[in-house]
Amino acid sequence: MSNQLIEVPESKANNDLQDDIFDGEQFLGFVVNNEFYGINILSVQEIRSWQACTQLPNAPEYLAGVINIRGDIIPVIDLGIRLGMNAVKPNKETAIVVLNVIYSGTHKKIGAIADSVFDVFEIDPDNIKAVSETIGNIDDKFVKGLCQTQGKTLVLLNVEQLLDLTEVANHYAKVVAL
Amino acid sequence: MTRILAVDDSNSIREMVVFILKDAGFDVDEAQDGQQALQSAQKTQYDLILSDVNMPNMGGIELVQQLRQLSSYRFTPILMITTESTKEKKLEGKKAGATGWIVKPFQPEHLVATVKRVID
Amino acid sequence: MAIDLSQFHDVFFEESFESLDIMEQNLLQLPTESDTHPVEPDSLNSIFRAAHSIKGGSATFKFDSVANFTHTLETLLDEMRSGRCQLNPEITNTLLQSVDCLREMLTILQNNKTPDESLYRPLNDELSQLLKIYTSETGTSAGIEPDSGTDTGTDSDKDIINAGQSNREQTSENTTSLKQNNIQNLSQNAQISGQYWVITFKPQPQILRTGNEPLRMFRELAELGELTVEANTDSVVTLNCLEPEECLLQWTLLLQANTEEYMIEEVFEWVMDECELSIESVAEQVFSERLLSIVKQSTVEPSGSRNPLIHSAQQLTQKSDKAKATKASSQNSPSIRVNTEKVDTLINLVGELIITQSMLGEIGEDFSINKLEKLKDGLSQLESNTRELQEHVLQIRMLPISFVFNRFPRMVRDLSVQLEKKVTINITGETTELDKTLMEQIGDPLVHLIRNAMDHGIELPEQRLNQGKPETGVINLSAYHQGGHIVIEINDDGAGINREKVKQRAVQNGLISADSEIPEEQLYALIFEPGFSTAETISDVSGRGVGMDVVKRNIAALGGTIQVSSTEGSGSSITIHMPLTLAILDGQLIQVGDQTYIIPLTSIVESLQLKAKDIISVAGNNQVFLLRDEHVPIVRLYQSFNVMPKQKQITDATIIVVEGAGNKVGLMVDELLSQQQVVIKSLESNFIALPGLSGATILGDGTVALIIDVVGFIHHYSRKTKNRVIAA
Repeated sequence: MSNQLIEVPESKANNDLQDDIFDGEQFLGFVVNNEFYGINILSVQEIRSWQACTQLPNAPEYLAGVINIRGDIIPVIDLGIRLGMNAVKPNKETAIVVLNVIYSGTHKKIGAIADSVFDVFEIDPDNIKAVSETIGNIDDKFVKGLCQTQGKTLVLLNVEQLLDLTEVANHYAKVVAL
Repeated sequence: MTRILAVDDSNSIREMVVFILKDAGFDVDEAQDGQQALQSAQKTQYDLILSDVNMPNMGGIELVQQLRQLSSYRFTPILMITTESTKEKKLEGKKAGATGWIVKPFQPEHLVATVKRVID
Repeated sequence: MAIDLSQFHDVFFEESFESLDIMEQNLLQLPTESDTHPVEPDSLNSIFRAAHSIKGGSATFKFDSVANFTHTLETLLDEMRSGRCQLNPEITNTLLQSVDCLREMLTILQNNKTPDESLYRPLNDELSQLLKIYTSETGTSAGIEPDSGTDTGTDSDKDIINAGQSNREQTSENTTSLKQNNIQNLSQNAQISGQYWVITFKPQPQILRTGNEPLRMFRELAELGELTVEANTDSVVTLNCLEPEECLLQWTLLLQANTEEYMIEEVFEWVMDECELSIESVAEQVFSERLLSIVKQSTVEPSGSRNPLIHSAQQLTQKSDKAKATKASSQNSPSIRVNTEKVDTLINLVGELIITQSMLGEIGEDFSINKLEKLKDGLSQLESNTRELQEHVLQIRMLPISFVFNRFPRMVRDLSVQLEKKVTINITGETTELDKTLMEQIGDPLVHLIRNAMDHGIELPEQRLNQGKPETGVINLSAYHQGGHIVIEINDDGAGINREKVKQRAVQNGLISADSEIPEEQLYALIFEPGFSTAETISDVSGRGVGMDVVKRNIAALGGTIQVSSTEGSGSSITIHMPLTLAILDGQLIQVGDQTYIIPLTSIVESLQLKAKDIISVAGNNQVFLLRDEHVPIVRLYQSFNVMPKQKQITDATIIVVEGAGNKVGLMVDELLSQQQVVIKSLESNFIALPGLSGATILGDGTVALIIDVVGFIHHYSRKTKNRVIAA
């Protein structure tokens, strides 16, 4: 298969900061439109290189489509559009982060397209600052908090909010009612 | 190890018999009717065959008759599991060539004891 | 080591419910008062066997109430089977009620409760009463009173009851006294006890032929106490006349054991009919003398031929080792019973797959271009292995549709009483196989349709006679395979659908205009619209017009279609087409822009290219074309799905005419690709279901292609067009 697959435990092991005593949370850092974001590593199942998605008819713009991961059909969102910016332009750095999310009690997998993935950070929960106002065009429901690490400001995302299935269902109800 | 073939069309009884006998240390195969049993018996030489009487396709009585035709089963113990406790019913199996019988319902220990009566 | 028998309860309940179904089906096949053909012995045998099986199981698992009830039932059935008790509708009815009663009792027991005696006592009494009446009517003397205690009669009728009583005692006492009970039956004078026993045992020569081995019996005796065995070889013939399979030895056994006569008899229980046996309790002195004489003989001729069979008791008692048995864990997940043949086929197919795989592996080891042909062969073999495997794996889920059909004879019978109509149902094709999931979901729609046919279709007997029809109405229910589909047909010879009423109602509901002339087929299709009922009286059988639309929706949800045709005055016919399985379909791959979609082949009527002159523009920006006599609207798939196409001109594109739920549309696509079988994957496992799509599949190159649900697509994307065409 041409899609190279980065196993998460590996990237975890490569992380110099890893320390068993440290009880902070681990976050996967990635870039979207030159900004830095983080997602709790416990939600991340795997990271894949970009692959073409099959479009879903009449889908909201941020929904790039569906892909096949080992026989599973998984919806993929474009984090660029979702976070209020430009769509991600695929190149060889582009990654699809596969996330495990729980929607009303059932486990679902979703993919999130990012410009690139760069590292795994350990972040002390005390260093996560709440966001009082909207940052740029990002809807604040997506943002869990902000944090400074290695000289970068990371926006930590709420994975559950990235794809809201009720929102999608409502969207389709409008489409077919037209 | 002693190999036993348990024949019964009732899944619950058959599963129970198999379980009890395996629990007692026997090697047990199962069949759902006389036809299946006859086929299995031709493939594998069993040391004992335990069969229900009333079954579809081929009943226990015919099974015994058929088995006794096979040279490899002329002297093999065959026990009938029967709910009919009347003498005629029991002897019907005997006349067909069965070794003996065990009357349903039975206690697990009784089944094991009866089986041990007929195997070496 | 106590064994917990409750682990087999689930299986027992499952099979008992199955047995009850079998009883019910066969009872319904028994002749009724109107016809006179003789009783099929097979039906009666099946009923008997089913009852017998429930009795055996319930007695074993100590569901005494069920065991007792089925015993009475079985006794009656046995009388019927032997012809001593004549069948009549009254008995059939009581038997059917018994089936219901048992079903209820078992359900209660399954929920770990105890059925109340009032539930089954009256029926049990009725059965006993029937047994009494009918057996005496047909001339057999039988003073059968189940509770009368000490009946020691020996005629066969009484024996059955007698056995049953001991059976009942055993189960209700819930003890191990059973063994004794049996022995007492066979011993005339039990309870003789003693310490010194002389047993003479003269088996008939053929005793070995039943697998009874005297040595084993001696071993058992030896377990009772000290045993000395003397063989009498007087009957042994010379070697050249010897039949090796005959037992010509006779034995005298001296047993010193504190036991009772029946315990010794028990050892010989199975060979009573094949031997002469005497068991004597003797004085110690007599015993010692006999013993001494044997021992003397054996010391005089230690290696002599007369006494090779003197064994010490202990040597004979060997116990087999106990092995640890693995406990079967009870499981609650829904199970499916699979024919062993199907499993064997799968195993063979996997075997072939492994051979192919190892062959391919060998080619891959050191591949060079001259092995290309071999590789191609291997791959095509792999393809055929895989396809076969897939087909057979799907077969596992296939069950005969009788699972659903079987409930209908009973339902029709009960309903005809309720509706005061005379109806018979003929079922054909009940062995036609269908996926288990579909099976579970097709039941309710079918129930509804058959109720409907009985309620609104079949007329009352007088009415039928007045119209020159036979008094008894007929419903034909049939199933068969056609292509990749199963077709289920329900015909009745009732009143048919009243066209005028349908039309009136449709006008009332605003579905059509009063002056519109619509084809018969489309008119009948209106009965599947929500809130549509033309029945004059509302009965509690099929309710108030609720249903036909639900039926249609349920069937559509299974990927099926439903059609109705009718001739006023002589009946209606409903035809359901369904896929055989939900897991796989034959698909046509189509291309629109850079997207590939799949249309189920079964929905495709035809594909064609249109010329400009074929296209008729209608109000707005809509086009239709004439397919034979029908106006078919053109739906631009790229517009519906909002993708960028290669072809925007109708004349450059390909039109695929698809049909769903009686509506046809011409789907405009860029081009047709190949046809292939695809495995349907749900979008819902990680996402939500989308309108107009039934799921997705993974193509050979690993990409995802969406599968169009034609019925849903037409419903969601071309509703306005459809309405306009109907009204036109």
